[in-house]
Amino acid sequence: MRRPRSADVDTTGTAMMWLPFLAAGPDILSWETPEEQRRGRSEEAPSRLDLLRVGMTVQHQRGTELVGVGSVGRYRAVTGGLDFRAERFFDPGLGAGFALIVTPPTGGGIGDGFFARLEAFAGYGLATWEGEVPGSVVVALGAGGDYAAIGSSEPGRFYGLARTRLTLWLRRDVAMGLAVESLPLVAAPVPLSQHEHRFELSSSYGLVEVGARAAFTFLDGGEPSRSFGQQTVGGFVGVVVR
Amino acid sequence: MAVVSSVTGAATCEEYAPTQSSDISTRDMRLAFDVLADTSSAYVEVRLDGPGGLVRLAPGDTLSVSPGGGPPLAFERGSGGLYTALAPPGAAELSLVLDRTPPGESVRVELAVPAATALSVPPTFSRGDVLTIEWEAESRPVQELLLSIEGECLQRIERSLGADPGRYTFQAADFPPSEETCAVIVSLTRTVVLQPDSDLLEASGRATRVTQASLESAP
Repeated sequence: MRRPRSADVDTTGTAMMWLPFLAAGPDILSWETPEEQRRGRSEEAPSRLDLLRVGMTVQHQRGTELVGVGSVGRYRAVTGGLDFRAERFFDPGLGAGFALIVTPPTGGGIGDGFFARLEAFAGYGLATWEGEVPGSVVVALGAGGDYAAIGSSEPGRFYGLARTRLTLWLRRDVAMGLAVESLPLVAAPVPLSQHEHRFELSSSYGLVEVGARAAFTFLDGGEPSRSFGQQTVGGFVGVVVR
Repeated sequence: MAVVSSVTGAATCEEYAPTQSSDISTRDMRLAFDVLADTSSAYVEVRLDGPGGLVRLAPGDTLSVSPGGGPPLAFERGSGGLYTALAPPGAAELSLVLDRTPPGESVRVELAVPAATALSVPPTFSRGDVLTIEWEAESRPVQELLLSIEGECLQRIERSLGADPGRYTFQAADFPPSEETCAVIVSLTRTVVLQPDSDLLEASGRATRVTQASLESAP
């Protein structure tokens, strides 16, 4: 393994979408490092840290929620909307990113089904490697908040976020990704302690990426104290640039 | 940004408020009761409400009534989702007990029913004379005190008494003229409105005791 270099960053063909990050220096515009060029690696898929994705997401949520001071209500919701994620890394591997999910109100039910999530984080390219299956591991710490009219995000919450993302390049234009996120610290106006774990498995071919997600939220509290939970499964499809 | 503006969202959301007691904290319950005691029994009706309306007791949770510290009598769920029980007639103290499986919190609510009493009436009275009825006055405040007399030859006469005097006299002018002789029933209905103390749930209701005596009415 080696530490990521700015040359790990792919900007070819997508420079217009990455304009805010171009200040990192002209070297990041090169597809390969001189050393890689000397090794004649041009036919290999490079390990890359960056990620820019715009897509649609659909998710199904079900769970239990606190009603009154200690009662258990149940809910389910299917929401769909915009999914946007950007992660950008600079030499020597430090980076930043943010994620946005917005489900527009539809006027068809509880709280109009509106859901919004915004997260920002600082990342670090922990490792990249070459070989038959090049890849990279990124870790990140950040904060975020979300709001929903139903479920564990009701009526809004703020949280700390730890994120790990593994990317494997099976071919030059085929990538597999696994992201794991944990929300160990959640602040919300409801009298419940909670933590959440999210998993995302994705696969991209060229500019198209599809993926599946699952999230599990664990909540405790109420009088008398009970355990509540939320299970979320979903998927997304989008345009990805790495 | 074009992508953002072209996105159309879709959502369906459903929420289910709890109705099973196993999903409901005792602290989110409201207990409304109605006790009607007469000389034969004490009919107790309980309505248990939660965040989702009427509460259905789950297995492991029981509702019972204990008359005067006696053995508990289980309630049955009747039509309309109300719980009913029949207790012995004489008890002036009834305990409603909601016994719950942990983590549910059990609760006991004490109800003070108007004390049983007997009406002191003559075996026969003439409607041309006064009729004095006596009983043992209730020591606690009574919100509703109703004395009535009626029979086949005597149209119902009803008196609402403010305080509980322990006696009342019908005047001869109170009785309409009639030449018949018949059996009449004197009824004393005492109702108290109760809001028993409970740290866990909100309880309120009324307890009524009806005491009757029969006598003969002559012209």
